[in-house]
Amino acid sequence: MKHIDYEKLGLLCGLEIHQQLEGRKLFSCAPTIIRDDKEDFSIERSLTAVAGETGEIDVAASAESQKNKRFIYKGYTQTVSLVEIDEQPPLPVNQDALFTTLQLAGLLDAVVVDEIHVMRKTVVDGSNTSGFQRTALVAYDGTLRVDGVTVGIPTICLEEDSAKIIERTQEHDIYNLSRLGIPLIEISTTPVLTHPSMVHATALKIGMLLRSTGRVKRGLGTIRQDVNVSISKGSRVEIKGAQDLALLSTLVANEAFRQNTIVELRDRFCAVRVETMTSISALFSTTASSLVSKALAQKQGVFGARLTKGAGLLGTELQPGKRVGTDLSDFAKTKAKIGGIIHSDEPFEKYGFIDDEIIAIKKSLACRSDDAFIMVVAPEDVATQAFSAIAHRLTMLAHGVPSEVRKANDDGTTTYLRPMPGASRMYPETDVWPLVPPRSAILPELIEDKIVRYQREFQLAKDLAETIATGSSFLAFEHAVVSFPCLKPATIAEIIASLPVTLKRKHGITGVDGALDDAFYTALFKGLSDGKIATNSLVDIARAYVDNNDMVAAMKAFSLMDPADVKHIVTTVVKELGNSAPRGKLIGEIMRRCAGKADGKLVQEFLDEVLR
Amino acid sequence: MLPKGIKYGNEVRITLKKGDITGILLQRSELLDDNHYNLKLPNGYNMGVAKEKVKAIAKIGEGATLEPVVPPLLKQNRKLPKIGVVTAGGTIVARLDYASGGVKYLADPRQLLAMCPIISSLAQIDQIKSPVRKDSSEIESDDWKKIANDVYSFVHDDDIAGVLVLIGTDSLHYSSAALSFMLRNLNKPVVLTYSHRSTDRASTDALLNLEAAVRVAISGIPAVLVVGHATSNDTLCQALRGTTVRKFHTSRRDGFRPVNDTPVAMIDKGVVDIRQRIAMPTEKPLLNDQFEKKIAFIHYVPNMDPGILDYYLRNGYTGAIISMLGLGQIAANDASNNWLGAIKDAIKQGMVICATAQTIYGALQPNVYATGRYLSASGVIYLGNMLSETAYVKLGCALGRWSSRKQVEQYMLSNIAGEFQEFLSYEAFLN
Repeated sequence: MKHIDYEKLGLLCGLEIHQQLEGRKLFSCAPTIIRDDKEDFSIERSLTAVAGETGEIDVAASAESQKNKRFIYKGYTQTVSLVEIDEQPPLPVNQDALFTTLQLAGLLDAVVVDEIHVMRKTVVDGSNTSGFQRTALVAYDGTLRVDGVTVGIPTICLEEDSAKIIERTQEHDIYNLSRLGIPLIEISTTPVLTHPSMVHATALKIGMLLRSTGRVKRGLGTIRQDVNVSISKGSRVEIKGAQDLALLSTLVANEAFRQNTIVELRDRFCAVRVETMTSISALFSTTASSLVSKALAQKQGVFGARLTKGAGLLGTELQPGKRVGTDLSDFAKTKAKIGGIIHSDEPFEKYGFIDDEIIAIKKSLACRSDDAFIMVVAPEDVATQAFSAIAHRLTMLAHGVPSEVRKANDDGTTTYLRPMPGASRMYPETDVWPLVPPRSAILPELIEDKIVRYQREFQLAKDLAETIATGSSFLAFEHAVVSFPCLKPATIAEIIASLPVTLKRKHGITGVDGALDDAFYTALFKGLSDGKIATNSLVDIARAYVDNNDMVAAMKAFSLMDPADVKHIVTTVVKELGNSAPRGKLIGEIMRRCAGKADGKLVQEFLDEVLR
Repeated sequence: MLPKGIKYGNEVRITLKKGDITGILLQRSELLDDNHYNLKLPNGYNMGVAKEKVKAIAKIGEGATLEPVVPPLLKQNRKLPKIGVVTAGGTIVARLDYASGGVKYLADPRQLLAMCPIISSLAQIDQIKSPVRKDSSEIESDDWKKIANDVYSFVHDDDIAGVLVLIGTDSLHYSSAALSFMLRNLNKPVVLTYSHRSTDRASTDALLNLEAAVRVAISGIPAVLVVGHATSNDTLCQALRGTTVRKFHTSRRDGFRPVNDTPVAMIDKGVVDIRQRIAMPTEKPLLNDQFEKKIAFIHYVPNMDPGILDYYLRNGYTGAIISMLGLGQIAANDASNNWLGAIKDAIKQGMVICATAQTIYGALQPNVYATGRYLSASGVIYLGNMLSETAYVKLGCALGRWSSRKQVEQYMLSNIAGEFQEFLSYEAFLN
């Protein structure tokens, strides 16, 4: 991609960050465990577009509803409640989640509302069983300093996460319910970010603030960034669902390029015209294309239309690897049940067409050299819908960059999702009573401040201080340094930092951050402090705990023997084998009877004492 | 009280000690405190603004009207069968009132039918009557009379294939029993339907229920039926007999279940699959809408004081349903709260006492245990496998019509509207 002068383009971006919280779901007491194992039950539902607060059916909502889809929800008996399957009214707002949101409001210097009103935000793509997402404005008018620039924080909201899509087909969408209802803090910024790198830096800073609360979920997918992008000649486009922070600047750069290209192609979009669709099935009676022959066998047809003055347009790249043809196809797929479109700027070999067929298509559609053509393989009514959508999309593009919601793809490109939602998307959640938030929340220490303090107060090396402060076990560290003064803070920190790494390296166990909880570390450090366990058995204890979640058993299995018992064994062995037995034989037998749970040094001392 | 010149719905600027906020001023529920203004912000969120922090409030625009747009009414196809509609309140005819955040009833019930356009391809709505508009927890027997009379006017009309009754869920099984006993010799379907999720939400269960109910209303089954979701899926509905249905869940859309019975019909993918034949009556339809309100309903628990019967007697109650333990027993032998004397005394004074099973499922059999035998011998009428709620309504109807114990007893033990099962089938449990 050529170098882009973002200042000249007038790039302006705003962020919306969604962070999942640990604990219980926002409006039910179900746990927030995200699962993808086999479901215990599944439910089939449909959703209907309904009139919003001002009486108008929302554009975005009705676009989804038009698709007339069925939704299948997969759930788990132990972790999904009736609230999540829209079979029970919501419980009151989860107070822990509210507390964390208030902490964020404090960190971002925002004004907390006097009374929180929970709203229903209309969402009929099926990702909420109720057809809406519950959300509440908790604070507004905050600020954040990023690299010397003041970024406004217009809103801080607390809302429910949606169900995760598993599969989308033309007839139904399948969702997993385990994510639905997890508390999400939504933080939005004003659109003042003028460079992709600035978008990245702002997201990074907000992420640090969120983690400083110690109450957020960690790992890929637990934080999602939506970014609003516009260039001065373009329009506001919302890119949803960027999960990987590293991808954020690429998404922004690609979107700026896409918008600029649409602006540059405007005259061409204005000039083209989609002609009337005609059936060209007859051209393929002996085709080698399996796509077409299969479709014809299923009584579908091949339909084509000339794109007058369209030569070369469909092949023009809007994003890396995605051309105008892809854009038309993505849009048409949301309006008609088609797998995609075929157009004249594509390599035809991939569909199995031969040159003669291409010539015949062009002839049949009366294409001149400056024309292009588009084909759709589908039943006739579906093809009609698809061509009407294509013509509509070209008209939209002729008017400039359409303001719309696009989905972030893993390669940094985006795909059309739906029109930009209108303002009539929210109405009150009457099942949850308005609530006055507690006056103030105690602010957490920022991670960046914590790093400095750990170095100063506990003499930790900078790397170690960073590992502990940014990790999920910093509370375990802080508790241990206070509770077990005979252990050095650096020793405690080393153990906390190294255990997950060693478990992964030696046993291939990953993602133990959550499993090695405060209870584990407290018991572990108490054992060390009391001399009940040896440092060389820590990894084994951790592994046993991760496997069975039973700390008492894990400690027992690897704890050192009581010195009195060791002494008893030493005395017994010496008595049995005699004073004159070789020392090596005596020690071997003692250690065998102690089953590795005796400190070697102690055995030597006792043996000396008994033999004396 | 609002400042002068400002109305709810106006766009206002509120000046606070720190900064201004603009938005639409909304009405606040009267049940909330009076210390806040409700404001809808331009981003769609609502919030409460503490009045004590407000320095000034000024109108900056009229604001948008918050009245929902009335959807266009259905076009009727004159060739389709006619149905009559009676609305009696409940969530299904309610809409969220955006101004106050509360719930209001539809100004015109045709709005609801317009939301479910498929109805217009199945039947034509002849007439809509709205005798009752209330929450179903407020329903009383006078309402049943009004509903029964309006339904009866449709039953009488030979042009009408069936009647649809839209009603709230909470007391629905009492209402369905009342209509079953008040409307005799039914020659067409009287179908009660409902919703557990209001029609202002996309996940409403009303539309599938309505569609299925209309299909049943034109199916010819001559009975009072309750039609709605059979499962939590938006796919399958069931038609249940009005006298053997009970609400078994506070909120699930498939909360209505048959007791000791199986569905009369299942409605799947637009097809009404009739599972139980109900015979067409040989006589003309009749309306008996009398009802005696002074019927006690006693759910027996261990330690319960039989003195409660005294209270009812002194206050003019002429009938009582006692929901009993097990096969039909309560303390009547060697417990300190022996009920036998009080029961004998009440019956002697003219009270009609009937027994039902608090196990919900199964049938009473008083002769198995001693206490049951004592109670049965004392004159308690054992109602076999009849549902307690149905028994309450039936006794109200009986004592509304007759004062003779013999006539009442005979009526209570006759199978009037499918409330007794001739035998209990294996499948008629927990489904």
